[in-house]
Amino acid sequence: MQIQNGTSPSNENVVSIIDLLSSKGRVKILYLLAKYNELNITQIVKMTKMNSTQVNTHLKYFVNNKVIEEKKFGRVKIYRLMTEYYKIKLLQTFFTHWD
Amino acid sequence: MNERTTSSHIESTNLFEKELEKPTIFKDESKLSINYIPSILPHRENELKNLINEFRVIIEHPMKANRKVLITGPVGTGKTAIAKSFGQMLKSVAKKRNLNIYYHHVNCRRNRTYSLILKNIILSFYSAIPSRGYSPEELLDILKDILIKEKKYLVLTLDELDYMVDKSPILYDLTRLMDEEFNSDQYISLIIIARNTSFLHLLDKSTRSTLQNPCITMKKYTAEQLFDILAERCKEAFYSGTVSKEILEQIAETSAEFGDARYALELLRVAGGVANKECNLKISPEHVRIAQSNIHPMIKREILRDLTYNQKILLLAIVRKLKKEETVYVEISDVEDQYAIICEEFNFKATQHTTNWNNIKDLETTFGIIKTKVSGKNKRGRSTLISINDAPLELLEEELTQLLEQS
Repeated sequence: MQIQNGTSPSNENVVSIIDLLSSKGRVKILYLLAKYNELNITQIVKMTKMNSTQVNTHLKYFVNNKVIEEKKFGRVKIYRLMTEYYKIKLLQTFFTHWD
Repeated sequence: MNERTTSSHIESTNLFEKELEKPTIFKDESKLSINYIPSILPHRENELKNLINEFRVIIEHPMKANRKVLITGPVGTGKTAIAKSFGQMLKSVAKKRNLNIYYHHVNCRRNRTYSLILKNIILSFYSAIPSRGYSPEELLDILKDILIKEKKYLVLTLDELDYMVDKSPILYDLTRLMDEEFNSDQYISLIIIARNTSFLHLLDKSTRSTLQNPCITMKKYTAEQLFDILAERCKEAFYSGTVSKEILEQIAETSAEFGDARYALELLRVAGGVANKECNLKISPEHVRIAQSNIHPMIKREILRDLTYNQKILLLAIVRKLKKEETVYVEISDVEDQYAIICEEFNFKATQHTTNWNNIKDLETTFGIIKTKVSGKNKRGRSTLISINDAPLELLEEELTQLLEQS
């Protein structure tokens, strides 16, 4: 499968798929970001029905491993999948095609 | 019972199919809608060129300059159309030159406060930003952050600024967004659309001075100009041979009194609808006459559409009471009784007197649909009297009922 639109072929920092999908919470967050492109923390907490500490921990892990990008404007934080990386784009395609 | 339901369902589907099979004179009716902006704007080329020349500098020297342009003119003279058309052109030129320039159009009648306007702009960049819980100052910081961090240049149109509640703060803040830093990059330009320049007197001196020039003034369309507009739009909306030159002249002359292109196009659309209903493949002068009696230039559909659900019910109550009483004025208490009945009809929770009074003031001052006065000497106490002078009640009632049923 060829992914176009300026996606780079690989991302050195991408964590292994086993770690990435190791918990239900992480899968939920990735699935929602694949579906909605961009979400803020309140939306993620509401949709996943997890508590904000859990969500925060997962988001921190994703941001550190360059799976998710965090944008901060004023006191608002927005999260999105870093789909410019090939593997992340693949992950998004997988989630959106699963439904 | 079940069989009967199925057969009636089939019957109604067949009726729908039958209606669809009938021939129509419309090639594309949506081309006559007020939201459609054609690629060519007849008789507005000079104004559009002026606007382009004003903004030339932001393309030639990106992030180095900002512009504030005021567009004024009566209703239906193409103010919104040239701004939107300019926005489309700006977007494509910016894309071609790889410039981070964004165009955004905000209707101040729908977004009437500082916060709502800022929210509207911010959400156009990031829909994930929470829309509640931020003060206007915080929203302005968020907008500033987005523009600076992402190196985005925003050309913002504030349409129908007359309807905005307090204009000074937003105009001051947006025109001086980058004032605090010395020779800093610029991130925002403004196009302001208003019916006239009278709102400028309500602004503080410093904001007024930045906005007075340049100003593009649109004049009312003449009958000849309206004819050209109608002819251009006819090509897109109707099959050829269905609308004759005489019909277009008839509509243009009727609408020239108001100089309002929106009214002319609405007249053409309704006349087309009447012809269609009669299965007639040509619009006749009689169809135009019928259309004329059905629409009234003083009833601005877009204004009625922008009212809140509660305001629509309240206005409908005023209309029904005036119709029933056959008087020039009705008392607010009588309107409220009627309002309670209509609320029940539409299954809506009626609001209390203070909210109703505020809504009535809004209908008068902001939207200009009704007129009010305080009761005179021969009456005990002071009561608000309400009247509608400009529009026929029958048509208003029809329009409002339709809108309420749709929403």
